[in-house]
This record gives sequence, structure tokens and C-alpha cells, in this order.
Amino acid sequence: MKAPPQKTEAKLNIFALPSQTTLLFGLIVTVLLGTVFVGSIGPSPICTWPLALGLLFLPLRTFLARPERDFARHNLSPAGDDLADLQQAIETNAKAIGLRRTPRLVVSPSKRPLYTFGTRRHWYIAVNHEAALRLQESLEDPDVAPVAQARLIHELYHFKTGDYWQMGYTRELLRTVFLFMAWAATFFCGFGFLLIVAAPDFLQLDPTKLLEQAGNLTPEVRQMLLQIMPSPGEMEAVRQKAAVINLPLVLNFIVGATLPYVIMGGILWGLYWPKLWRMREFYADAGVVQAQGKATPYLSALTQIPLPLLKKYPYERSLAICQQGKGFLDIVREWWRRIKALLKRHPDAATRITCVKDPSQVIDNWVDAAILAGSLTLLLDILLVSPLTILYAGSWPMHFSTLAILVVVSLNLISPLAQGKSVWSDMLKIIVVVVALRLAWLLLTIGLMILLLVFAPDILSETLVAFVASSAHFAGYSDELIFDNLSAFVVKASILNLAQVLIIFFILMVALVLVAFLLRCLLTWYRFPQVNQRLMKVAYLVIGWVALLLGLTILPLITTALLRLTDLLNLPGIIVGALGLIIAATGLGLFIYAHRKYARRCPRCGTAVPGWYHVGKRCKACNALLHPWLIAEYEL
Amino acid sequence: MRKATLTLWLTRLAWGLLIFDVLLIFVVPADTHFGSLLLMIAYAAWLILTLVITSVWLMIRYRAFFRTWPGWAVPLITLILSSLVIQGILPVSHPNFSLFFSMLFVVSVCSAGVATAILLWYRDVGLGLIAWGLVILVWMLLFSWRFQGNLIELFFSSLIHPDKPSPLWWWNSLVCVCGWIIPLSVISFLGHTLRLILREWQ
Amino acid sequence: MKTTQFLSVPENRAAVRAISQQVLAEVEPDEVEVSASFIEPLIDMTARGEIVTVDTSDEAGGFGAADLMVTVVVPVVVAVLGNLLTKLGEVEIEELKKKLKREKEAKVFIKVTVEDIEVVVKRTKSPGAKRKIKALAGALNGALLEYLASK
Repeated sequence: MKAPPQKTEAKLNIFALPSQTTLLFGLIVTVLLGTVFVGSIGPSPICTWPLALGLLFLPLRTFLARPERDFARHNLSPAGDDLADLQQAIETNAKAIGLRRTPRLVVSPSKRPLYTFGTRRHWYIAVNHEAALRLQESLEDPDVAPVAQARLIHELYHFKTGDYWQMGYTRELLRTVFLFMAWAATFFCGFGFLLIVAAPDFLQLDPTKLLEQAGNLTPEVRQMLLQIMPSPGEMEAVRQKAAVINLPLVLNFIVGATLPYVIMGGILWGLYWPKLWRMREFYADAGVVQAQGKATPYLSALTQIPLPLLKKYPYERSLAICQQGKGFLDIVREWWRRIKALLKRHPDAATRITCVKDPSQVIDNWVDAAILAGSLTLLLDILLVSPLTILYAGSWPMHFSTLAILVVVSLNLISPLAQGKSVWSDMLKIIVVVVALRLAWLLLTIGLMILLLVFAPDILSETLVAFVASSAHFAGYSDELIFDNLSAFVVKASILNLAQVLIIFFILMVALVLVAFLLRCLLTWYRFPQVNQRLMKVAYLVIGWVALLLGLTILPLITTALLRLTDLLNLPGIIVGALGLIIAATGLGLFIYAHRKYARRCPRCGTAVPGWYHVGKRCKACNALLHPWLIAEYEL
Repeated sequence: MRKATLTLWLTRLAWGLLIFDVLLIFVVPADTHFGSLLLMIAYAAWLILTLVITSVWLMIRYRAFFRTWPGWAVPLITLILSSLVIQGILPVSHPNFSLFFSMLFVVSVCSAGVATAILLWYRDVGLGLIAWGLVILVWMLLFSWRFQGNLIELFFSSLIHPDKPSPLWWWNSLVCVCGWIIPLSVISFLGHTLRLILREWQ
Repeated sequence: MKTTQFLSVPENRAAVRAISQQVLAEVEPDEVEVSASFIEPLIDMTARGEIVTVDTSDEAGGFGAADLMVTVVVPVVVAVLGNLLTKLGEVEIEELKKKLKREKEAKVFIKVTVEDIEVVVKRTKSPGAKRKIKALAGALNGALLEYLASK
């Protein structure tokens, strides 16, 4: 007998979807490390790869050193025998949620909350000693044990989701970038100023004359000193080299290369770092309720309302209460609250509870996704015009940020698609916001250029020379740097840049429509073998495949046509473009083959399942739940 | 137990030698010739050797203090102070005091190295020390060049006229400190990196 | 009579619930939805003389403590209604409503001051409620008047 179709409110299993924490982590790393790596791969006025390697490995090194610093700073020590039961509970729960190793319990005399830290292979749960004893006691009391367990599982889930290392590495990366760039700015500015101050004296230095002044030197000492000091010929060579160095431009280069990283690092630290903190808590909370199979112990732990009381009253939603229209001041207050919430490292309880009750709330809505992608574009646009990467960005201005946005937005599409929502309008809105932000930035620059062209052409000319010189010829003068026809330059630059914005808009729209369609198709592959483990991997492959097609074929073709039309027929470009096309065609062929084989058939009875997938969808013939791994099972 | 007793004994001996040497410096007239050059050299060598060895031992013994930033700063301040005296920036007329500060300078040069080594052994701050040490060096050179004039000429002038107080009095101390910091920091950075990697894989 | 004794009457509990939700809707609209399930348990806690204390030491990095406005609003509403019933010598809210309709001057008793709320806020140690004491007093006065004047 077939069971009647159940109309349940299916909750999304956020662990089966791309992690928002990982996405944020990737974003920060892309902005900070990606740009430096691009500078190392592409043409750059200075050798950038040591900087890129330094910024990659130094944070890793500090991340590895972090636990011992925490131990020293908070006076942590391994838990003794009096906490053996708590350590045992940690081990049991760690095994229950499938952790590959058990974190060690460490205690601190200072009043610290229960928190986690560690490296890839050494995990720790730290807690104040008295709090640990209380927690251990609670675990033995059947009335409150699930509440204490909820707190433990929450901490253990930070290891399960891997956010502990993402947080750790990001913190050290942000710190390293800020400190390194601040150091580089201080050191090289000092060095540059020293050269400016010392250069005239140094270049006029005549060692022979200097030694002649010293009448009390013996001939042997004089001869020895003459051998140590540069000869007149060598001094002349130095003078000739120095004559072509423009030291103010060197300083311009130093400030231009370091300052954007300091500012962008600060923005990422101020806005994205707190978001990463908040996001990890949602995932840990989701882990608790999924592991315990019910939300009440978690809610009791969070609200401190005794568990028996919460169990006594069933979960309910409140009736809608009519609210009066908001005045201007209320709206201002509301926005102020939102802005303050952006800087908070811990999510407020109401949001946490909302996310537990409806996990899909963890996933960014279109506004958040647009802000994320838009700010990513702005940050990349600003960093890519720094002297370290301007040569690369000048040759391939559309590649990096377009591909980064494509990946970020595509990953954000998976969750609404899984929920069966229409993504077309959200996608359009996201791209419009992203492009609008980019356009605003561009119009600001163009407007400034036009203003200067009209009112102060000399300043514009000097600024452009300084800007170009700081990257292309950062240390010297060049005849090529004279802008003969300023207005022609401004017009050409404006047209080329505005055209790029429109091109990016259309490319992104087309690419995202393609990605969304393919992902929607992919979600109907109910018969795909080991679907719970492999479907998301295929989704990442699809996104990568579209990014590859864009990066190897479409973007190079359009960029070359726009900026260097004569290079359109050069052989390496054609080969790379063709390679991209071949890969794209092969990928598409494989996708179509797999789609025909696995899509829209019930994995249990094989009956056709028409329509697109949505969470909680069942086969009409046998009532089998489709993609049950996308659903989280727990009681509210 | 035996090790602890030996340590205690050595520490007492070091303190005793230190006090004895300081007494010698102030009790024996600084311009005495001891009747022969050999004895004079032996006296100076005794002072230098015992002072350096005892100070090194005592720093190792009290390393808990020297691994802190204030502890690290003590030998550096001593170095700068004694350097000021021996370069004639801080005038000291009494010959025994001059001898004391000369010995202090020798001891501080070694102590600065030992203190840096202790600090870097216990704290993974090698990279920071090199980085900020270089910043201090460059900015000191810059300000010095700006306000004191052509440093190359000043340097030559101090070489040619060693009897006059040099305006580059800070240079010797700075070079000495950087001379210790740079190699020790590189070794420490590599050593700590290796230690961290090994600990991670243990 | 204990001021929380009136909670044994189901209608009185319903009144506490309705007024609390009204206050929340005004002071912390985002919480109305999530707090619905906590009002009844909080009424029980208040009846037992217990209160939720917000431990703000458990900040970022730890599990975190919920600073929910409902944990302050419910005890405040219970205290205010309990005092009102005691003062006017009634046991049930419905009777109180009728009395207020008969004796218009009795409405002067419906006045919640900032000090009344402060007593509860101090016990809960809620930083959120501390910041919004004035708004809470205003919303509570409005909600009480509206509820007690309703049919």
C-alpha cells in the first residue's frame, strides 16, 4: 500500500550545500592573495612572487604557532583527572558526529567561555576550570544533560565544519597583510626619503678628496681606504644610473603598492571578518540540532530557559501582529541597527533561533549576496589598479573580477535552486547591483578626469604621468609618458572602460543563466550513483567548467577585440581559445549524457518524475523522498 | 638534585666573581702598570674573560627575566650607556670609572647577543625583530642625514679624529644590536618554523 | 497573596501573553516570531520566582548567550499585572477590565514607570533591555491600556 503524500515543512540541510563560511573565507583569500598572485603571474614592475609566497606561508606559519600562544596568553593547561568524564563526553560526542579526531580539553583559570582552537592536526576545547566542572556535573544530570551536550556539540561542530582553520588562517592572513604592508610602507618610505636626502651628497662624493682632507693617515691606510671606496669611474656610472631615477616616483610607487592593501585589509577585517564569525555560529547551531534530532536542548542552552519547561509547550509560530507604519526616525534606527549588526562578531539570538527553525535563512538572500559580490568587485577593482597588478589588469582588465563574481554568485544560486525558488530575478538584481557599484566607481573616476581636463589639464597630465610611471616605469623618466592629446586620452579611456562594464554585465548574465539552468538540471539527477556525496562535486565542476570557458575563450576574445584588435589572430591566443572550446564542448557532451541517464527518474521505482526539484519533493508513484540528503531531520 | 646543587654553586661563584671583579676595577688604580706589560695584559684579560663568562652564565640562570621584553632591553640600554661613555659623549673623568664603563661596554656587547638569543629561543619573534630593526635603522639614518648632515663625511671625520666625540655616537650601538639581531633572528625563524612543522606532524 | 498567584487562571496567562507580544512587537519586532514559543515557559518560570539571567561573558568565540527581550518583557508584564490586580483587589483580568470600565479613575493605577522595569532588568542583567528601558515603559503602558480597554 502506498503511503499518502505527506505535506511536510522540509528543512534544508545546509551542510549538503556550499558552506557560506567557506565562501567568505574564499572571498577574503581571493581578494588578498589572489591579487598578489595575479601580480606574480602577470607582468609586474617588481618581482612579486616572493611577496605572494610570503603572504601565503607566513599566515600559515603563524596559524601553526597560534595554539602555543593561546596556551601562554590564557594560562591554559591540559584538563586533569577531575575532568576525565567531560573529556570522555567530548570523545563520545566527537565520534557520534563523525569527527576524525578528538579535541583535547584544556582548562584556564581565567573567566573564558567554552571555545575551540587548534591547527589542522591538534584540536583543543578550552574552558574555565569551574565552568568545566559545572558542565561535567550537568552532563550527569538527566534533566539537563541534553542542554550541556548541546553546548559541547556546538563546539565540536566548529571542527566538523572546518571553520576553526578557516577562521585561524583568515585571522593570520589579515594580520600578516596589514602588518607586512604597513611595514613595507614604513621601511620603503624611510628608504626612499633617505635616498632623496642622501642622494645629492652621495653623488657628489669624491673619495680622493675626502682622503686628502685626512692629513694624519699613513700612506698604507690611505691606499687601503682608496681600495675599499668606489673608484671615480664607478662613481660616474652610479651618477649616470641615478640621473634617470625619479625618487618622488619611487615613493609614489611604494605608497601606491602598499596603501591599498592596508585599506582593503582593514575593510575586510572590519566587515567580512565579523561576518565570518557570525556565519560559523549558524553552522555550529545547525550541527547541534541535527545531531540531537531536536531543537529544544539547543534552545534551552541558548535562552537559559529550563529544558522541561520548553518541552512542556510545543513549538508555535506567533500570530501576525499588526504593526503601525514606521516613521522616518524608526527607519533610521532600523538601518543603524543593521549597520551595527554588520560589525558584531556574534549573531543575535533571534537570528540564531530563526536559522535553527528555518536553516535556509543561513544562506544569504539576494541583498546580502549582491553586497558580497558588489564589494568583492570594488575591492578587486581598487586592488588591481595598484602598481603591483596594474600591468596585468591593463592587459586583462575583465578576467579576475568577472570570474570571481561568477563563482561567488553561482555558489549562492545552489541553495535557492535546491529550494525550488526562481532565481532569475534575484540573479538579475545581484548583477545589476554589482555592475552599478562598478559603474559608480568608474563614473567617479571618469568624472574626476573630465573635471580636471576642463579646469586643470596640467594637474591631470601630471597625475596621469605619475600614475603610469609608478607602475610601468616606476623608477625612471620616459618619453612615452607624455600625454600629447589629453582629451583624446580621456575620451578613449572613458569609452573603453564604460564598454567593459556593459560587456561584463552581459557576459555575467549569460554565464549565470547558463549556470543556473545547468544546476537546476543537475538537481534532477535523482538516480545519480552516490548522489549525496557526488552531486555537489558535479555542481562545482559545472561552475568551474563555465568559468573555464569564460576565462580561456570568451573573455580573451572580447578583451583582445576591444583593446588590441591587431592581436586577434595571434596563434597562442587562438590555441588557448580553441582549447577552451574543446573542453567546454566535451564537458557539455558529458553533462547531456549524464542528464539523459540519471535525470527525472525516481531512484526507487524508476518512474518519471516531471518538473524541477525542490526540497521535500517526492515521487508521485512510490512517495519516495527525492534527495533526502538535502533535508535536515529534527524536531522543533 | 646534583644538577640543582651544581647550578646553585655555579651561580654563587658567578655572583662572587662579578662582585670581586667590580671591586678590583674600583680598588686597583686604573693607571697602574703592575710592573710589567704581561701582568697588565693578564689583568685586563682576567677582567674581560671573567666578566663575560659570569654575565653570560647569570643571564642564562635568570633567563626567565631575559626572555621578557624589559629583560631584553636591559643589556641594550647598558650597551648604549657604556657606548656613550667610551665615545666621550657622557664625560667620565675618573680613570676607574672609565675602566668600569669600558668593561661594561665589552660585557654589554656580549650580553646583547645572549639576551637576543634567549629572547629568540623562547619567543618566535625573529621576523618582527629583523623587520622593525631595519625600520629603526633606516629612519635613524634618514633623520641623522637630515639633521646632522652628510653621514659619510661625518663617519670619515670620526675615523680620522678618534679623539673627538663623534656625532655618530648611536651608530656603533645600532650596528652592534643589528649585528646580533639579523643572524640570530634568521636562525630563530628557521628553527621555530622547523619546530612548528615537526610539532604539527607529531 | 503572592503577586504571581493570578497566573493560575488561564485567562490571566492569556492576557500576559497578549500584552507581552504587543510590547515585543513595538520594542523588538524581529523577536516576535522567535519568542512565541518562550512566552509560556517564561510565565511558568516567573510564577516559580525564577528569572533568566543573561551571561554576557560568553561572547564571540563561545556558545553565546541569548539576550532576548522576551526574557525581560514577560516578568515585567507579570509583575505589573500582578501588582495591578492586588491593588484593585481583583483575581481575574476580565473582572479587572470590568472594574476599570466602571471606575474610570482606577485607570491611574495603570502606570508603569522606568523604575518598575529597572528592577527586573537588574535581575536579568540584559544589556539589550537596559538600553531600551524607556521604550519598554512606553510600550508597556500603551499595551496595558489597549488590552484593558478592549472588550
